[in-house]
Amino acid sequence: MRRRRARAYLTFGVASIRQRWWEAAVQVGVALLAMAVVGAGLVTASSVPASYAATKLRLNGPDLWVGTQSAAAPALYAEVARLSQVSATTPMYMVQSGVVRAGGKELPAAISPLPDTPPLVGSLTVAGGAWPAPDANVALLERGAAQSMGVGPGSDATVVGGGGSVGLRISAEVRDISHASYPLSTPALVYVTRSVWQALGGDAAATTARFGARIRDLSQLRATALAIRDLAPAGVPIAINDGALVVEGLQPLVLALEGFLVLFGLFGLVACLFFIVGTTRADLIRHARTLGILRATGWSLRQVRWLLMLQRGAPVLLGVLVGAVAAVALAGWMTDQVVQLMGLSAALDAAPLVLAGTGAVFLLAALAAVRLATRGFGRTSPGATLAAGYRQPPSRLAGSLEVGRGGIGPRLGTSLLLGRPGRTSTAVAVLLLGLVTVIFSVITEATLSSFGSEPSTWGYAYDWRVDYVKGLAPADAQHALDGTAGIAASLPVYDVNATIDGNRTDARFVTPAQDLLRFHLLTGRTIASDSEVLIGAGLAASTGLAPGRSVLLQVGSAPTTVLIAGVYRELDNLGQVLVGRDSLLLGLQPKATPAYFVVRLQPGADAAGVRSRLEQSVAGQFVVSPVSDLIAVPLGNVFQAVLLILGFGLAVVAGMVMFAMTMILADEHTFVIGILKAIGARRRQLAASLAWAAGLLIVPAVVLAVPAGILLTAALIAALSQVVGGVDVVLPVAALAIAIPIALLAPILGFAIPARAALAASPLEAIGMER
Amino acid sequence: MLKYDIDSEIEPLTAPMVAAHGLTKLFSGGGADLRAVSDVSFELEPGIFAAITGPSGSGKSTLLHLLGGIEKPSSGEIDVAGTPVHALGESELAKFRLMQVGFIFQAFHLIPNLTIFNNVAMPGLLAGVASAALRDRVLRLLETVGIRDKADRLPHELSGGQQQRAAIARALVNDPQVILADEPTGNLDSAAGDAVLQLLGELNDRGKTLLMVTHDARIAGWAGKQLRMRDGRLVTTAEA
Repeated sequence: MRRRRARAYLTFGVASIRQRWWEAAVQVGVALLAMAVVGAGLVTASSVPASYAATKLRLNGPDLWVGTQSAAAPALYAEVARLSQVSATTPMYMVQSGVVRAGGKELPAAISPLPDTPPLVGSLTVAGGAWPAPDANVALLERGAAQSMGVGPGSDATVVGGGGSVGLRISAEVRDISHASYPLSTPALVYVTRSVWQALGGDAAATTARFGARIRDLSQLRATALAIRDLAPAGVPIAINDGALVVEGLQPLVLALEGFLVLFGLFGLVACLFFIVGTTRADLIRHARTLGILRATGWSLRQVRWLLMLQRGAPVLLGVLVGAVAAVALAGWMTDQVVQLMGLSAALDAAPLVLAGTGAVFLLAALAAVRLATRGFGRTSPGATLAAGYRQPPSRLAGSLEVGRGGIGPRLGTSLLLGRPGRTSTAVAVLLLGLVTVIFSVITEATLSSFGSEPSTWGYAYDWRVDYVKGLAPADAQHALDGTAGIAASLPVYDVNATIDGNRTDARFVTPAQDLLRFHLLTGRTIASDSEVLIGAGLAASTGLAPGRSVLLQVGSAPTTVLIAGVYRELDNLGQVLVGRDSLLLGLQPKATPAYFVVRLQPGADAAGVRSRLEQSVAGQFVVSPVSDLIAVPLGNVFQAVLLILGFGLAVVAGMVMFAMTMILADEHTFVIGILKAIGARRRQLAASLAWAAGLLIVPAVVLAVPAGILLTAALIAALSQVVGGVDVVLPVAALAIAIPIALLAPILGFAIPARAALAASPLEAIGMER
Repeated sequence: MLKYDIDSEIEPLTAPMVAAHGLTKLFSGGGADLRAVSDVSFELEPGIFAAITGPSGSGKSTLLHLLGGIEKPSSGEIDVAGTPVHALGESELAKFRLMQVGFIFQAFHLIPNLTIFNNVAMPGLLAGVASAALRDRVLRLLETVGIRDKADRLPHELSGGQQQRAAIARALVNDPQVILADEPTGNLDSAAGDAVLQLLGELNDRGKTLLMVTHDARIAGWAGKQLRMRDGRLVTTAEA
């Protein structure tokens, strides 16, 4: 019995889908896209940290990296190796600051010597090329930096260290994961053979050292990190990084990606649901007699509803299934794009669970939409349905359209629309949603393009970061910058380790009253005196420090009390940064030297020429890093590609839904057109009334959609920015002015095509077009 | 008694009101042509009530559609109230349907989402009749056909007989000389059907030329002249 009923459902369902295949195709398409983007966003978010964990396990990498002064490093290394929580350590790598130049670019470099053989524990896994012989004149470059410079194994490079400069070949890339995550604050890691190391000055030129440690119980990771920190003698700077922090460093961007994907997907889902409600209601009228026959021959209302759910649910299910496959592919690609920058291998995490849950939600929502659309359907008896069909009551507006107001075109067009207020309102809602979706896509695309490429978004209102190599006096460096034509302003930045209220942090000190570094205040105010500091949002969140609190600041061994004036948005180093005036630092450490300079060029200056003159003035002892190049690295291309696909895809879906909805509406008018033609309406009159109806449908949608789309998008991006930080809405007026009319073509065509067919048909053909 | 008072007197004509000569209609499709109407010729004088009869598929509805200008003939000539219908272009045909004939369909074909008032007023609106005059005319017509109180209802809220009365009122609103009715009682019970026929008869009494398609011999008996069709051909023409 149940089997026979299922076959009955299937027979009707298949017949209906075959008859209105394009409706089913739209449902499949929208469900597919929505599922693909929501699924991909969710899977990517969990896959990035999973990729780190999987890669670390496979490469036998360390759980913590410890960096300190080179002189104190051997003793600390020995003590850490003895800790019971530490199961193994990497070799200790001495580090000297320098420069790497390759592919026409240069980056500040942290140069270390390679062990003679690959270490058992460590991230020095060669990703491309071979492990070099100790006497080879080669270097290994971390993959993120290599990509940033556009070079790879076989490329020539120049490495400048504390004791000289060596021309060599890049023999391989290694998996290292810092530069890609922190392009502005972390130098490129360069590993050189023993012979090159010696040529660069060797251990004598090394100022710092670092080593990695594996932890027995990862639940004790933080406790172990604190224990290692306490091993360092007072006054000796120590930096401890969990490799996962690097992944977390990308989390805001990954969250942004996920957030926008999910937003896109939810827009698609809502569009899909509106479409289902609209087409289901249309079916109740179009197939009124069929449904009347079914009910008159023994089908219950529940069974009819199940039939409608099958007709809608099957395409959605198909879209969800194909969308899940697309989500896996998209998530795999995005995860790979993100993690390969960090030297990791992509590993999808929790995909079946996430996708099954998302798909189930989609399917249930589709069935709920059918249930909503069929509300009230049972109030019409089978007899009445058979005789006259299921009709929605007229609206009061339609009732007021009596003779005497306006021409026949507007009056008829208005009556046609308002006589079916339920359908018309659904169509307007779909149009509204479609246009809002297009506006959302355009604004979001522009916003994220800016987010990825505009230095000021990240708080950097300068063009270059200029590092100087050891041997060049800071005063000479400043003098060279001041004396180079084309440079509008330059500013020294002091970057030191500090402790604030007992918490170690990165501290930057800058000249007051300048605008090269703009601090986007989240709370509080700017610095007004030497005894005030700003703290990054990450530091505020992790320590609970807030504006108005006076705390102890210790730089080296010199303590002082400072007032926290404000909290600012800092994407670098997870916002674990403190900013104060350089006069405050120089009061504590009179011999402190700038870590680097930031430089703004004069408007229209020839950057290459200025750079050449500047480097010549100090005999190549500057490392110039264009900010826009550096910040373009993390995920910029992923965002661009994904958003381009999504924005275009979603706009197409919105167009399809709008097209389909107006087509359904216009389809119904073909019957009316037939009657009107039969009683003598001229084509021009009918065209005028249809144009009026289309205008009545589209104009209010545009008037509502433009402000609603802009406000909604701004609100959504602002909400996302609360989580991610640094996302400012960009309103691309020109792009919107082009996109909105193009988007409107879809509903106009949807209205025009069936209307045109009906107008061209004979009256009897048009009457017969009623489905 | 019919209360409808037409606005203008119909001029007596000596020429036929409706004339067809060698009228043929072919429908193409499915690899073969269907000859729905084949070489039909006849003339009807003004003010006559004629019935086209015949079994299903005999071509009687197609003949009515040709006369009313809602189908175009494959060959032959049609003259209605002095208008050569076969020679009209699309726009002129529309004007012909609007002003010179009133069409009544078996399935009523009222516009479902317009009120009865607006349905009846629609041909007047299309013809550009002044609003106040049209309002008066529509209300008088609704009064005439006995559904004045249903003016603000939607078609589906009325019975079949009431809907057909509304369709008749719509056919009259531009005061056409010829009324064409395609099985006007086909969807009605006998009482409602008789009332509609009574109404049509009274229109004919007022001088309207009436041509009605029916397959019911009893209903055809109401007509003063019968045109009997079979297999697309006019087989007999009989006076009552």
